[in-house]
Amino acid sequence: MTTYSRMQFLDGANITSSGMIIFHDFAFSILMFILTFVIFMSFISLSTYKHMRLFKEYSFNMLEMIWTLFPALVLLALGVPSFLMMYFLEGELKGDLTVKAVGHQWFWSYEGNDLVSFDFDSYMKLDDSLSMGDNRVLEVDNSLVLPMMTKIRMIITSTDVLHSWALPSMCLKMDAIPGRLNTMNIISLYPGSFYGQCSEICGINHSFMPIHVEFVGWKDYIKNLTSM
Amino acid sequence: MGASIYFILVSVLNYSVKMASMEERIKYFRTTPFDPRFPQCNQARHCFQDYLDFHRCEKVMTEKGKDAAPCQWFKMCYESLCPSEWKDRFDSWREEGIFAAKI
Ligand SMILES: [Cu+2]
Repeated sequence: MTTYSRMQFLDGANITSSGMIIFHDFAFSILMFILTFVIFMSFISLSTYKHMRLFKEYSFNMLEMIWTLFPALVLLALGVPSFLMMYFLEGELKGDLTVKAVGHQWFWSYEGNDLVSFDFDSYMKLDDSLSMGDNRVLEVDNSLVLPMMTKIRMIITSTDVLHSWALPSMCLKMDAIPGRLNTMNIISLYPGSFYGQCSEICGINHSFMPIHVEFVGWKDYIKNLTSM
Repeated sequence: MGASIYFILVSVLNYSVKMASMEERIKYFRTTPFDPRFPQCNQARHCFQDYLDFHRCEKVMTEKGKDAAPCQWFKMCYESLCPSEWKDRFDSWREEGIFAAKI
């Protein structure tokens, strides 16, 4: 969950999201290096522009080689991990479990028909029903319970307008579109509870349809399913 | 970033150990497999096709006077893919005779 004064991403809860965070930090460090280098060089050339005629009179083969090859290498260093992440993130359409998230104005409902059929709505908890330690506008009355260490196929759809089902800890976000069954995979390697919010402006209560997913061990998941 | 690198290393090491074993998967998980006819992110057509297949299969089996139990596979497939609202809508269309395909 994101709190005030947070400067970085949430801790990744699976391999893909950790990879994305690492790639972001890596790309950011390269960007900062280029920014400082360019500013530095522009000040240098401003203060030494009188000597620039040297470049016209002499050739600096080594220098030209360096300023041609260096950007190419930087692009390569950015491109290779970027493509790796892209293909790594590309979800497969299979999973051990299928869970459907249906967006409504303004709540989510979850369905599953694999082991035991379940179908419930998850509304936001209002301020007066919050208990001590709950997160305001993030807590829901019925949270989705999923097994960890399991590849889950989420099917995301909507019945009225566009919504978006997001889970920042897994670096996941997918639009819920009426008439489409958008599919993505979720794996969590952690047990824990993760929060998200609807991420596509969908009406007046857009801010008040949070997503709360709890990941438990799969034996507890079966227990929870059969008791539901 | 350091935490992420550490996490990746630890999880790669533990991944194979902690994942549910094959036996457990077969015992507990039963869901629609990947269908090469529907490789796209939008599985709406897949849901529709499985729904159609189930009712076609049931019709053919009852016409031939055979046991319709094998059709339950398609039922499982469409039930795990289609939202219940879609299923109800398909059912009502079928009853009214305005379903979009020939069963
Ligand atoms: Cu929404």
